[in-house]
Amino acid sequence: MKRCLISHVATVATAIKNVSILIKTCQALGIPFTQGQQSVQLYEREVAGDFSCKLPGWYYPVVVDSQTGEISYDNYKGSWGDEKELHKVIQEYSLRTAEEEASEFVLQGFTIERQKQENGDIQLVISQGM
Amino acid sequence: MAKFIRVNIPLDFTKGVTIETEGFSGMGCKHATDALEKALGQVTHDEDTEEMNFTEQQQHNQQTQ
Repeated sequence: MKRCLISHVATVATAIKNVSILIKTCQALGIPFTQGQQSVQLYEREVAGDFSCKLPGWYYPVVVDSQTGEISYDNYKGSWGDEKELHKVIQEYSLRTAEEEASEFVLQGFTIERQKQENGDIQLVISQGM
Repeated sequence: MAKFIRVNIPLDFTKGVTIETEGFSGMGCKHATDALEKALGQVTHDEDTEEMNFTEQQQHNQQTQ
């Protein structure tokens, strides 16, 4: 007996692969950044990437390798930088990335709405035929 | 029938972004979110919801009721 598939839920681990969206994110949040291939010293280790930014109150920069999407940082469990600052950047980056992809749906008659949740999450609702 | 894609972007990025579809027929729900999932990162979990497990027989029963 065949199934009639009509919905699913996927969880996605964030990877940062779009530098142009990351630049717009940092500009919007007023965060200084350095673009281009670089090696950055994070306390005991040196990491390579093609983007870095200095978050407010952070001792070491956050380094991104956009080829792998990997994010490297050392905030010594919050002692050298409040993790909330990193969460803000990645949430805004993810939101902008999702909105850019969702713009394809607008051409098909969908509408897009941002909904801020009480717990700080942001839900992007893409809908049609309401 | 209304179609929805809900993208939940958590305040804490370590929890992962959740993408939920509703109201798509066939494999349309999977195709609809493919590009979104790839743009946001790596899918770590993909689950069919209860709504997804309709069979043709169940559909037929609903239509004849």
